[in-house]
Amino acid sequence: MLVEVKDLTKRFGKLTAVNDIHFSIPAGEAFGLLGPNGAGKTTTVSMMCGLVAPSSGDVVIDGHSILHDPMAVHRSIGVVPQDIALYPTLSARENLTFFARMQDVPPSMLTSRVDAVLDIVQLADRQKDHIETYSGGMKRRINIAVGLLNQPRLLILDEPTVGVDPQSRNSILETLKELNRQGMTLLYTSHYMEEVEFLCTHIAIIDHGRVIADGTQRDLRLQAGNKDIISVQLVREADGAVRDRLAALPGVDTVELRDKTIRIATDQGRSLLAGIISALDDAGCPVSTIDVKEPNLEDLFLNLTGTSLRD
Amino acid sequence: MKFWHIAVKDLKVRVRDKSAFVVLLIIPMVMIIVLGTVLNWAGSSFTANVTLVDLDHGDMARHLTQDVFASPQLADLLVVTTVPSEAEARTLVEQGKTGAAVIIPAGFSSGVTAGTKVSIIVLGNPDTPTQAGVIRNIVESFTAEVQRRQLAASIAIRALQQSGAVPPQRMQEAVQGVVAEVSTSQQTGTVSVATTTQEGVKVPRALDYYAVGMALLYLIFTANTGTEGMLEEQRQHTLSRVLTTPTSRAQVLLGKLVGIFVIAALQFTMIIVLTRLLYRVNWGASVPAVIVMAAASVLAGAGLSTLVTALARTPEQASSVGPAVALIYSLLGGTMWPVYNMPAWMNSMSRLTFTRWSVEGFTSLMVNGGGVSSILRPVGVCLAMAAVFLFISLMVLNRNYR
Ligand SMILES: Nc1ncnc2c1ncn2[C@@H]1O[C@H](COP(=O)(O)OP(=O)(O)O)[C@@H](O)[C@H]1O
Ligand SMILES: [Mg+2]
Repeated sequence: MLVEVKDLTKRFGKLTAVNDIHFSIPAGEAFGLLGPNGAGKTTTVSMMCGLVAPSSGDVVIDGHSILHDPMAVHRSIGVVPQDIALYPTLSARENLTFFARMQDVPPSMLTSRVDAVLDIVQLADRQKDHIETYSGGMKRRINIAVGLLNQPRLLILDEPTVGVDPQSRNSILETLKELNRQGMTLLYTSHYMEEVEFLCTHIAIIDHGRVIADGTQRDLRLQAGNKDIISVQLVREADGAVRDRLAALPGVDTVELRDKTIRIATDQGRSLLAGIISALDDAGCPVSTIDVKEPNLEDLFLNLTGTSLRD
Repeated sequence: MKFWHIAVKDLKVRVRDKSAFVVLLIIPMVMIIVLGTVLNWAGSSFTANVTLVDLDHGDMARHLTQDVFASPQLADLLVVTTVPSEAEARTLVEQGKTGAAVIIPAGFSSGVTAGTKVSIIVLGNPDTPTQAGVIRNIVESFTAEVQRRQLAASIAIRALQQSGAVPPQRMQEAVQGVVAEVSTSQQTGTVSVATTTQEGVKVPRALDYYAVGMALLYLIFTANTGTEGMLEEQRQHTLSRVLTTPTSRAQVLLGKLVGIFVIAALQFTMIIVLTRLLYRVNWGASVPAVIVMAAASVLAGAGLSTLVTALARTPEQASSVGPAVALIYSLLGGTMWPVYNMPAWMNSMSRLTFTRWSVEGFTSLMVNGGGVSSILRPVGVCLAMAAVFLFISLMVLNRNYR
């Protein structure tokens, strides 16, 4: 395992911001930490990179404990903080060069590394401009670029798309997906379900400082017992024979019939649509509308906590 | 070496901030020129106000009032006024209108001639101990001289009596002759007066002193902007970011310190050069000594600012504590008014500030013209204070990681 978070707890006075969290990330994975605002994501990440001392527990990254050898951990990680952490009156290039020096990038590689990350975030043409003249999205991209300078084994990103326009967000997510494809391990926190679903193979859902669900996307859906729901509106009322016919289709779990509405629960979603429509046709029940709702992490969160992910 | 990159980055940020640049380098320059003109630095110097009361009207009193207090050697140092009564003099001292009153009691001269115990009263104004000290010194030198001569006269007279060379009926005449001789010999002006305080430290010219005070005042101010710079890094989240890289807190602290040091050193040099060129401020004979004293002071100032930053829990705290500390240092540290004019309690308290030691170092260079070896003590104290400031800062910074 590249990352092992062991029984991590952080108390601020009476508030337990992070409560006995544990998870591990194998090398090469894109790991998502999904949770609403105030769930404890930033506190967890801050403990992982040595900015906040844990009340108890430990984090081991690349074989080094953050408690016992923080400098070794710092060499293995790149960090993209939730807040833009750049010098506004320095140019992008000056910022990158400074942070590259702080990250122990060898002097002979300074120029090439700075060029490389500027290319990755596609801001090479604006490198000489002061950060204060950048748009929010551009600042976010440089903020990410700083985390890439030392070619880290683990890139930790704390809500890196907050306040970014949709286009920049897509470009950021695509970039991260590509970096992950090339072998970089990611730890990505967000309160946007879509981002985590898009980027991450493995997800931990966190709420009030606790991990309430943890697994692959598929695992999580099954864990909540959620099925795809196919809702069919018929032109006129159907009878029990129609329901039995649908229930007999392979892949269908349950069928509910109420007046002109049929609700079919299944694990196979859209692939069943054609079969369902032809079965209803055969039964002489013309379809008015049909709709597939795939369960998502939002539903899972709702199921687990009774509240919505967004505030 | 990372600390150096941090310092260079800080300087770059500082130079780009035009308003900071103006505040740090242009304003001190303008202030020196304005203050220099207003205070007429090029001419003014230390003077003591003395009020004389002659209730004796004898020869001895005249020696003191005319040959000593009105002597040409003391004309630059003293402003002399004469009042007829002791009560009037006491009132002037109480109202703080004079540095000291010197009261020569009735019968002083005849007492001296008769060899009886007489004394001159010096009433010092406690608010201006230096002036009082200078005046007391003058009177003491005078009375010491009188005593010496009184002794010489009585020995001579006893010798005359014992030798029998003078018949008893002519003794009276002979004694008067000796006393007259001793008195006239005083007019040769052997009564010497040094410009000294009670502690015996020589005092620099006011102009020179204020140049030192100004340089140190700006040093404190500049050090405080170092605190602001650190807070700025916290607000920008860049400090946290640096701390997620393989960079220790000690390196960050050192980098910040070097950054402040360079700016403060630049400013200090500018003030020294400018006051030297424009107002002929005498910074002493030894350039290395001035550099060493300035470097030690600047280091202590930079250390102090790091400490304030480290101690403050929040940026708000730091931005209110910073100026408060700067104010205490300015008031107590001898930069606003001279240490030699402070009441005794304040004078002792001021020893807790590095600026006080720095003032001592610089003024000693000005007055005595010594080299580096003559200021080892103030330099040592400044460096020790810098070390303590930094040590505590580092402890606090590491403790803050919780
Ligand atoms: N330094 C701190 N002092 C006190 N409380 C804090 C501190 N940092 C975070 N918290 C609290 O801890 C909880 C978790 O915060 P955070 O980790 O920032 O959540 P998230 O990043 O998931 O939005 C919040 O209730 C927050 O107010
Ligand atoms: Mg957060």
